[in-house]
Amino acid sequence: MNKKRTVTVITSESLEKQAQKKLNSGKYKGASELYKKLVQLSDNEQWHQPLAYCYVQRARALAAKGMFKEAVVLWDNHCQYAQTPYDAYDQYIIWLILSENKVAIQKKLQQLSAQQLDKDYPELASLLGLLTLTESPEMINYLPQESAFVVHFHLMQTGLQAYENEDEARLTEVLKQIPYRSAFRDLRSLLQVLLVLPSSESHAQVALAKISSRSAYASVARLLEITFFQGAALFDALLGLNHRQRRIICQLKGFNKQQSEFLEHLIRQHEHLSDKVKFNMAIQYQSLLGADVAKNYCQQLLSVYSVGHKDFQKNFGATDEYEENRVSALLHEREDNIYDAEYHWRLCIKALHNQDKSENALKIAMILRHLSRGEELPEKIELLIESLQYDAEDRDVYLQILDFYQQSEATKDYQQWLAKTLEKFPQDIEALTRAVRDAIANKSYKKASHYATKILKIDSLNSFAKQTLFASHLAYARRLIREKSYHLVDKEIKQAEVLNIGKAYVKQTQLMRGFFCFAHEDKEQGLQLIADAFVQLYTDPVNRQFHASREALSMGLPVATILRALPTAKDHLLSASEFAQFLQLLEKFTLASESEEQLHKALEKIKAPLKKSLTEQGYDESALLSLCKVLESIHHFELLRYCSKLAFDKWKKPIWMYYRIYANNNGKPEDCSFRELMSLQQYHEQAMQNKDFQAGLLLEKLLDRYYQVHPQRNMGFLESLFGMGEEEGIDPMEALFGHIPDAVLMDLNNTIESLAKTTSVEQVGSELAEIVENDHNIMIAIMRDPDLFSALMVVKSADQLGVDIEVSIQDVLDCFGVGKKTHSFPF
Amino acid sequence: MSSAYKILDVALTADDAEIKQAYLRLVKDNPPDRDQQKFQAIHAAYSAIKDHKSRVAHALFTLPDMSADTLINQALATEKNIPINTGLLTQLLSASVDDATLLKAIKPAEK
Repeated sequence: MNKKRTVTVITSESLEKQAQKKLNSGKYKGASELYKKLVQLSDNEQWHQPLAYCYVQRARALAAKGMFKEAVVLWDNHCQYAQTPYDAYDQYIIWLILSENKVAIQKKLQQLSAQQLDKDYPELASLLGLLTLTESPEMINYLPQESAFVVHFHLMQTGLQAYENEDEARLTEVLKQIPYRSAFRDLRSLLQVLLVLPSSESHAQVALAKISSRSAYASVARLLEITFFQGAALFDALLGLNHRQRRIICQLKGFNKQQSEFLEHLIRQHEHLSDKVKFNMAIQYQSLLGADVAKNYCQQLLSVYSVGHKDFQKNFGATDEYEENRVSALLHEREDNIYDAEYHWRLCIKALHNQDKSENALKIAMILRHLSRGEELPEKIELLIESLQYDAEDRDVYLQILDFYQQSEATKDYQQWLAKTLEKFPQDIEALTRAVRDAIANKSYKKASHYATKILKIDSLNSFAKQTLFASHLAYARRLIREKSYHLVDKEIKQAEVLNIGKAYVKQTQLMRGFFCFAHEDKEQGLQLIADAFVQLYTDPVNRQFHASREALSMGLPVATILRALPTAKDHLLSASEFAQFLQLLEKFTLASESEEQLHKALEKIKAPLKKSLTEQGYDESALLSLCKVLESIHHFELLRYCSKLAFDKWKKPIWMYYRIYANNNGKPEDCSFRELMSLQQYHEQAMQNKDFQAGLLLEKLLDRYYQVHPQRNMGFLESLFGMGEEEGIDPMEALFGHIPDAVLMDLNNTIESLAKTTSVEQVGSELAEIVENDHNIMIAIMRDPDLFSALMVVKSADQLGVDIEVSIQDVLDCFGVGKKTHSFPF
Repeated sequence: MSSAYKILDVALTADDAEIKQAYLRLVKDNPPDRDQQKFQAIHAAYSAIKDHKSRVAHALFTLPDMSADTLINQALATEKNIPINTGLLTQLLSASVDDATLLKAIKPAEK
């Protein structure tokens, strides 16, 4: 007996462990079977609770799978091992309802107490409320009549009756009697929504959103919300509904028979909406869509569904060639296929030409402008000009044409189109401003003043026009002083003063008055006035001297006398800000100066301190670039040479090589040496590789100019030899052959090229081998360094030509650091 | 209807004044400091169709919407919903009652 009991105890413990394990891992079926065995072995109450729990969990799982009857049986089983209040009792009632066991439903509902209905199971109460009002009105008879639920149910019935009678006051009164904790709380909210619905959809939507997604009324709230949707959004929402729900929504939306059919058709097809299906649907439902909409839709689809042409013609007549090509062009553009897009745009233009519609000209112009965006400058301009034939009133297009001509530096075309623009838009400030700029650039100050005056008539505050007029008055005053027409000078200065455009300009008129006084009235007083004005204008003597020189020269006054009245600039070093001021002044004078010579003379006066400043002050690269740009434009090669050398040594960039060679040859690239030519080519390549297109273009211009004069001067073989070893130290080719004149180098090149045609590399190698006496090291060096081989070829060709280039084979070997013996040519 | 017209909520036949009025109203309701993105969308839509020329360009260079949505929007367009009477409300309530509604309405008690 003892032995048997021991076995039982061990089995129970082991079973319990297993059951517990299964329970913890959610395997309720296995766990419940083990607990059942345990209960059979010994009806220990501690196993009842987990067994009951397992039954409920299994019931829930089965209910979730729609096996409501099975769920009910399992829940009933759990009652044997559990005590009231039972777990998931509210869910059990729902399973019963879903299993449609009417007798059991009635029995269980009758067992519900008022307490359970009103307090313990609010979610169940809410659901029962919905059911009693819809599918199962008989249920109300089974429920405890003394419960608040039943009272509220009757109130709701009264409310619904009031709603039907459109008695809003009565309905509102009834709804007020439904408390927050009522089972009909969410129905109350729904009725409140229906009350506001005709007037405020947005308010209704906010109220609906407050109904919890877990509420029994959440589904109806969602259905109501869907009725606010339109078109595609409505369709998407309808896809998630069942047929019955869709039918009621269609009813509420007021859909006619055709709309309902369309909807059902679309629901059947929605997963396979090919172009063909869409095309056919548009034809099939054209009376619903409207003939025009259906036709347009099909017309547009033809671009991607070309098979539909026949059906289109059958249903709508001829296709619209323009529209078909327009859509095709846009589709190609979307795929970045510009070539085919242009083809279709051209067909569009052709089609528009064939139609007689008022807006077609504008459309053609727009297409041409659209096409111009993808073109290079010349074609771009051509298309824009062509577009003006169809729409001549577009001011922006005129301005664009001007911009593009300016970019392509087509001065003549620019001026021609500027005149056309001014003729077309005589009051346009932008066009007039361009006219002023163009006149200034051409030093036509009278023209500039004319346009500036026109601008000021339209816009009296235009500062650009005022500055232009100011500069013109002063320029004219200078001319009058130079011509000694002193009686008119004061008037010009006064007119400049009247413009009143700021303190800086007042100082300039004061300076002009000083010069006027010096020239015409009192020299001493004039000098004093000039000196005082310069003190106001500049802090440094260099700028004062430069400005004074230029003014004196332009007015034909004695420069030396005036400069003596100012402090000397000899040892002054310009600070960065003073240098910037000098640059500004130089740029201004360059724009305004009628005589380059005068500017050169004025620069001569400050050349020494300027050079010293450039060497010692270390200005930044952009400042030096600006200086070189101006010096280039005024052809001051001496200073340009000085500045570009300094900059090149420091930054070694292609742009500096450009300025250097340009200045070295006094602006004549055709005069540059072979070595400079090679440098131009090398730095041009470097600029293009570094995407420094500005420098690249400038260098290219020099190269073009060189080859225009020397088309035949191609160094062929030698071109690859002259290394541009400036950065890396001494170039051996330069060291050996740098002294040879270009003409001799050309001859050498020709000989080397003909030698290369008649002599194989092996032959040259064997000849060299004899010379170097089969010196293995030298042979390896020749094989390894192509430059050494090339240098030896140069010596060989000189030898063949009988030209003394003062370079021996030993010089070459020494230069390349190989060999010790003395050798002589010929090979 | 293309998006610019949709954003401004104006008809395809709207004139300059109507479009400007719609734009100003929308900008007033959606200032840039409240929703920069929305403001930009409104402004871009206005720029696209503000005058006759821009509307011609917009029509010319806008790829039509060839999706089924165009058809659906047109086909399912209705003026107004039918007023919901008690009968329709009951139908709506009934249609909302399905197994899923019943099952999800009760939250299982926490164990």
